[in-house]
Amino acid sequence: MLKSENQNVIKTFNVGLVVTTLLIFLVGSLTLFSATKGLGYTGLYRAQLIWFVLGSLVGVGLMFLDSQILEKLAYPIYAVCLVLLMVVLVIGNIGGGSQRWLNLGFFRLQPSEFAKLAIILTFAKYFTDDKKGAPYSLRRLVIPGLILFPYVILILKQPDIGTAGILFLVGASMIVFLKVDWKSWIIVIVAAAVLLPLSYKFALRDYQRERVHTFLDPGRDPRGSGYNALQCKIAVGSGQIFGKGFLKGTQAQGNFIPEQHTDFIFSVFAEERGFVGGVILLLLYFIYCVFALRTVSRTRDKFQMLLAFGCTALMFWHVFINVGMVSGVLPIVGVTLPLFSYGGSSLMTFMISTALLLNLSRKRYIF
Amino acid sequence: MIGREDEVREYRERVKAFYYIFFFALCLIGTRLFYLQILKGEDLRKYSDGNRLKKERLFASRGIIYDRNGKVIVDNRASFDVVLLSQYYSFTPEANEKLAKALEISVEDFEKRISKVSRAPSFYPVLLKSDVSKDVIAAVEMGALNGDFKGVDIEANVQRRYPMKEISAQLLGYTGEVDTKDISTDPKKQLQPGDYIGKMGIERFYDNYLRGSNGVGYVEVDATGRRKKSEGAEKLLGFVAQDEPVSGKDIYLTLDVDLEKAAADALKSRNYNGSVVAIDPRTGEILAMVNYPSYDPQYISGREVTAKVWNLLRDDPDRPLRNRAIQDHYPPGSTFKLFIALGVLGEKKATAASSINCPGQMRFGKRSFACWKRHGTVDLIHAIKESCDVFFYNEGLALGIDDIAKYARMFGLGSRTGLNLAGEAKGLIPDSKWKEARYHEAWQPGETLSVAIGQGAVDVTPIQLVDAYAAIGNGGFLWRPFIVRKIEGKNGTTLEETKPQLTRKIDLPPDVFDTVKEGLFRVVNEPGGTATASHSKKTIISGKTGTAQVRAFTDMKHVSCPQLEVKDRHHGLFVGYAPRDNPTIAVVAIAEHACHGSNAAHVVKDVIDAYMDKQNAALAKTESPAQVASPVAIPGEVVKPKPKPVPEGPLVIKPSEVKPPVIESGNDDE
Repeated sequence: MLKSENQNVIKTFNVGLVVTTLLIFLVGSLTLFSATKGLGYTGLYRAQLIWFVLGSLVGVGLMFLDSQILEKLAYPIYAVCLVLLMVVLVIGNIGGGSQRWLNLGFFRLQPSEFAKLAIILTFAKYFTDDKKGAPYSLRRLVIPGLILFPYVILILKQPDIGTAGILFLVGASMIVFLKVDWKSWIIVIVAAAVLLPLSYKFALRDYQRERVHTFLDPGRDPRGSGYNALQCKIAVGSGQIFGKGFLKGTQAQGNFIPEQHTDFIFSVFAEERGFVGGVILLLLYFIYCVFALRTVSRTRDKFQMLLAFGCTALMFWHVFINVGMVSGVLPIVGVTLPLFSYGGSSLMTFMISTALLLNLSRKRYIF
Repeated sequence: MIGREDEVREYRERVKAFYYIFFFALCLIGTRLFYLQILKGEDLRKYSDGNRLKKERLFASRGIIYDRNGKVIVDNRASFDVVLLSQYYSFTPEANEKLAKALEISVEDFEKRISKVSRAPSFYPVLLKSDVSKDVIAAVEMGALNGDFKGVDIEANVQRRYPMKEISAQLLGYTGEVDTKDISTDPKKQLQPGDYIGKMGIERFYDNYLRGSNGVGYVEVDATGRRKKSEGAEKLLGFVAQDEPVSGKDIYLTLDVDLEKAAADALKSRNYNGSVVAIDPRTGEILAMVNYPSYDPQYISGREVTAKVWNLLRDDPDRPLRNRAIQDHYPPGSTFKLFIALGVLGEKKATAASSINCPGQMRFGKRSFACWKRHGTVDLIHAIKESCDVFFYNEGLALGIDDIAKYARMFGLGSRTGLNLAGEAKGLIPDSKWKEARYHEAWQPGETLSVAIGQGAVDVTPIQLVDAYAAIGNGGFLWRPFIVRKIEGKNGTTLEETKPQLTRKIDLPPDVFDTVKEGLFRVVNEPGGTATASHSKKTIISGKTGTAQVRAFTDMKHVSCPQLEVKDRHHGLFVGYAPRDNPTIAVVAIAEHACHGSNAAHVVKDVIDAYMDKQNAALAKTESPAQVASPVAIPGEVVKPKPKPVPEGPLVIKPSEVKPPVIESGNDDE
């Protein structure tokens, strides 16, 4: 009995997902080392390793957690995260021109990172409980909208347009996955066409508008927010086919790109490893998503399935938006490259979401 | 199983669609990478190798400091620094030797400088030599053309210029590179390493106004780290963005440059160390403030101040960095007798006619207290005029120490005047409470005798003394001295203007002031007065001499002062005002080791004469309608930038080291 269960644990362990995650993190760590060498502080590289070890411990714990407990905790977690987001607005430390952190002494907690997981959990719980099921019309999406709305508003207020966008995209992905009726699709598309220009005019802050301008037309930038985009483009492009080699990126070592160890770390990687490296990295992320989607299709209940899909969507959107903005096809917003960018909260989020996927991929053999 | 079975099965089918969606989306990104790295790769590689836009700080120019008439006291000039980017430099002995030669420094010195470079991040330009001459610039440029000196560049900078040199150096202060403490305590939270701030005097106190804020620009640098002069970057990339720096605010002082020079000359020509302060008794404006020994701020305001230069100034026993006028205190000597006189008159313990016989000394208890001369019978006015000690011993005893202190403090002695400069000293006016608190002993009447002639524990700063005498001259208006008249933005808008501020109106009957002023008048203008040699033909100077002991009187009872070693000679003091009624200027002079107050009186006379000459000249100008005085300086008098950027002349200026101080009069100990 005991023997067979142990065998099951090993047999059902999603080795592919673990190996992919480790590979991405390994490449990321080397890139982070290179990115911070130019800045002159190597302490960040070590801090990132410590976070990885902590994340692994948390992850191992989560792997053995019964998903029913998560289902029960979904709404309380939503509430706690909501409070944290409000607190961060009131007393959060100012960092990088916006208010995103809570200083806990030993580290600075970024609640908006964990908000992503909270939304996935809450949506999974809500749609599981909704017995009528798909397809969803807009009217039936009012309540999910109300769940998402406070988070998005609070995060936009920080202001962190990137994270707010990710929350929206991940939530929307889950809904699309569940299926939306065709009439609602038409309404959404028309509404978006009308509302986008309006929100640009009224809802965005000056610097955010500036970024949109810069994205559309780098030449007209008067204040230098196009500088990052431009230097990124030079860094990525100058990598050519095979890259300049480890620690040989002149853009990275010359410290031309601000924040090159966080949001812009892909530029360092692309400069050093070139097109070949970039494609291999994108493939690694794709393989991660493949393993994650396989987990989705093997889950045993709706909650697990939605949870797994949410985690997959989170990974996908982060990679897509981050690499898109660094290579200049998307506007610059603060979105990290999963398992690559420096930052404890971001790394933790993806370690936890990977751990959840591992947990869910085990489940079907145990029952 | 939670959820409908058929629903879940349908979702599992749908997952397959997402494999394709994800794959397609990542292919889009891959295509973009293909475009950038393979199609555009070569162009962008060239760009990253050869041409770069680099974000750089644009230094804001510091505010200019003007005198009361709009003449420049402190401004800025362009300077050129040679910097090195280590990532491009070869570090070979041949290259070092060549570069050292171009920089006109020894190879050893160069290697010492370059050791700093290897520790800094490779992309960070490190200063090799600051404020270089045109020859060095030419040599470096030539070398660059020949392909030597990879990574060497010339940076244009702004350097503070102090055309007044050592005159008022301590008052104006100097600028220097920020240290970590400056950065952490900056109220504006703008400072970065490499920035310049005021470190002393006005430069420091008004730094927030003078400093301005730096901007950001993008400069194009070539493959060797040198700034490119071409417009290529703009063309290829479509723009050069920048954030303009905001200049600092200009400051207009109450100082008069001409009077500053006259005051400095008056001390320097007589080889006196010491201090001169002139204020306007009608407002408290400081017209001149000069201290010697002094230093040329040019040497310590640059980007490259050597520890040697700095230590030389800091450790000099004569303390050239100190603003003696406000930071040092001296025993006021006989200048203090006036407050005894004011006290006995104010408390009605004596009248102008009260007289005392001076036999040349006075016995008190077991001791004999000497007077500097046998005066015979003197009344109060004569006692001031001839500075009779015995008279003031008696009146001091009659008044008592606590009332002496009360009157001295009434005129602002023993407390900071509150002018806007850091480091003002308080001085000390002792009384019985102070003695009790400090030594836990009762006040001895014998001590009152010392205090009555301004010795003992009494200590005042020159600025206090001149402010107090100004209040005597103007009939009781004690002003708070000030140095900054207004602060102006770059477009000429006045941001702040200082209004004269009355510390207090001293409430004494007018005849009290009249009596002591009569005494002060006679000191200078009647035969037998202690400073008659300083009688002026241009105006009527009133004032009082004083002698501050360097060593106790008893040690050298029988030696006349000029026979002593210079370091043991008394300091001479004179404080006074002119004209006699409704004075327009009050001046104090401390002439260190000048033996007698009358020598300081010569200094004061020179300053007052210079002031009166200028007033009369201005009056003559306004009277003739053809020549309307312009508020700005006469063009010929504006100090032009020097052709050579390297400052010349000595660092420390010590008049007394050239020759011993001039002793013109007053062989007695007064």
